[in-house]
Amino acid sequence: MKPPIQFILSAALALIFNSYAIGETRLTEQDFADVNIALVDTHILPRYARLADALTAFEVSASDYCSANSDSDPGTLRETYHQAMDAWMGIEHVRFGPIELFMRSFRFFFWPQSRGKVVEQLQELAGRIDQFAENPEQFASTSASVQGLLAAEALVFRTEEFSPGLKAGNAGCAMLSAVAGNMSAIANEVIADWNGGMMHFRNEVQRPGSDEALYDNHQEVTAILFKSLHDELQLITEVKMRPVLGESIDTAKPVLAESRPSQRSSRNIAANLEALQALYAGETGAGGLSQLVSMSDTELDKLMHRAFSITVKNARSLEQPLEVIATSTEQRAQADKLFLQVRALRQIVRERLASALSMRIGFNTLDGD
Amino acid sequence: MATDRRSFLHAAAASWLAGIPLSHAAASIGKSYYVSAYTARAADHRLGCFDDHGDLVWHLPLSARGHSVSIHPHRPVLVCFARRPGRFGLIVDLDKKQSHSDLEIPARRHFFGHGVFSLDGKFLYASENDFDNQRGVIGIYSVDDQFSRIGEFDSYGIGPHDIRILSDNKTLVIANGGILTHPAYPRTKLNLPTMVPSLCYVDRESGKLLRRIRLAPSLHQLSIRHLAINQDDVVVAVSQYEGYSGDLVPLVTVQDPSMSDIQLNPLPTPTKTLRAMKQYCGSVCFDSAGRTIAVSAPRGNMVACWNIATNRFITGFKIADCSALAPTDTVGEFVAAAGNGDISLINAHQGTISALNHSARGQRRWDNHMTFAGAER
Repeated sequence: MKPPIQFILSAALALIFNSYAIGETRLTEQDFADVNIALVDTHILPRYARLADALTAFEVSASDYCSANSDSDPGTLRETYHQAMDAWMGIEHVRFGPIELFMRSFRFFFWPQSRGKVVEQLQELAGRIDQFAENPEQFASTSASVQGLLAAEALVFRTEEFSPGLKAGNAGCAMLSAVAGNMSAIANEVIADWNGGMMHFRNEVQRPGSDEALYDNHQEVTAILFKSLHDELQLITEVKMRPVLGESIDTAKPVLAESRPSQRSSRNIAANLEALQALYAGETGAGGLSQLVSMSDTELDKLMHRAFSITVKNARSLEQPLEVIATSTEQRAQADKLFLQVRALRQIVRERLASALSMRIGFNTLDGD
Repeated sequence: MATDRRSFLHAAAASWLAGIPLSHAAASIGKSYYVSAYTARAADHRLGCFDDHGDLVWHLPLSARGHSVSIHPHRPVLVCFARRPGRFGLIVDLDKKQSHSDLEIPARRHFFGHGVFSLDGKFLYASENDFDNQRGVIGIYSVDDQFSRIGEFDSYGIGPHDIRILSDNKTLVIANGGILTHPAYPRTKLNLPTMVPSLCYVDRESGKLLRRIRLAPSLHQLSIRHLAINQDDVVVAVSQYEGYSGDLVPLVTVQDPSMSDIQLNPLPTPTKTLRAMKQYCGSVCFDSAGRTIAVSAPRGNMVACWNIATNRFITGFKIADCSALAPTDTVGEFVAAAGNGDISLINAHQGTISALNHSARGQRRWDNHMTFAGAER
């Protein structure tokens, strides 16, 4: 469990020298406003557009697969599922805005939840899937467990668990069609609510401060973006990695890994970290939270860039799903290293980034009870 | 655990300061004492007692973050519960200022962070998680039998958090937050789309459900978490909302036994204040008269006060990152301890806030709950 010594030293220094001098530059409301809207326009909206496109492609391939012969190769269907999951993992960290409404986040991806629940509920759904044929919009009111990417995964990768499998006209294909169409609809609703509709959330970000506004000022919006970064790092360590890795190889629990049927738990983490790197550094290397940090604490900005670079590289290099690596004597050290790196990154974010962004992130506010 | 009128009185009857008799009397002339968990450095967790100057009188080490404290009504003993999903319930001898033992909780349970003594002091009841069966339970500990765990009963909901007792010494009031958790994912909320919070009144002797109050279906993501009870058994329940951050929901509600309905009724709150509370109440307590409540909203850097007798909002105070609250012996007055180490004094009726002790700023992070622990006579 040895991370690169330079990174650990940097992280340790960052943590030890908690009172590291912050530059004289005082961030203004305009500084926050510039970064907020840039992140909406270059990070959030394009990533939702990518999700919508990927889900459309998945819907098409599901339709094609279910129209073809029953023994056709599911390769394309599975690949479009992976593309959709990559897109979701690339925007999962954004937990505010239209995604909060109507349980949309959970309807896309309700994880973690108790094992077997998705399959169990799909079995139950199979018996009444016909009722949605004429009223597909009613599918949006079914259990979140069967609406999203986990249900799609079960249908596409665990076909042996549904006796009819995926065949033209059968319940499996009817469910796949309903799930795929529903996810596309949710993605389009999210985009519509960012750009207009009753929420017009882009306006909320751009024009805080009025009596009816959700946010009091631009800095508060940046605080929400900061929280997106912090909370996803926490999700990676505390939900996606720690439960699976356990304290050691002997206490590893592969069964707790995310996306086991599609064997993409490591790929999810890499996609999450790439997205967080883009949130920090900007999609094209500019316009992210870094723009603010570089004005107030150049040393921290360098540390953040470096930490992301090392961590993302290590995540990308995982060649097996985490559930395999967790119990592999040869590969385990690599996952342990990644865990420590993500945790160190989160500590830097928590301990130093907040102050560099002129924010008070309180002891009782980050993780309450 | 936020202090309510009853524990205030009982705590005052304790005499744990080296034999100095304590009381809660308006004319008390000596020091008052408050206990709360805090974190001194990154992983240096402690239970601390400070006086009415905000000076630390004693402290004990904790193995992890503590959450709330229950003080025995007649003996110099308190129990400090671990923050969920912790497993310690530290029993502290207040005469010796040391801990001699811990509650023993079964392997397949963990604490949710709160507990309450029966008014006769014979039993301690703790909110716990039966995570294998996805249900909340109330663990029963016998004080006279070295705090051994003698049983449990259903909390009649998922995720019980705060727990109080009515003046009949029979009825427990339980805030079932509704949120499913499992130690495999220690602090992750596992059922937010389907959660159903409730306020349950349970007979502590039979374990039978006496009354269950649920919120409207549209408020099923409003997690009822903390309670305060006054001398008239008026229950104030404060919540944390897991739904859309732009929704305006009743975070502060009251159940008045003198009213004919058995609902949780929202306390009137200015829209601006409600929005500023950021969907999150940290703790609640009554003042020494049992008529005024203070509610902390640490995410909104605010403490807000209501008059329960008149059902009116009084005022809000700006205090950064403050969750822990307790009443002083002055009517309408509260001590507020914050995550930055500041201890402040607020007076709801005068609308004043003053620094009680800000000398520990940056050195002590006061945790979620504070308990009044008595006053010298």
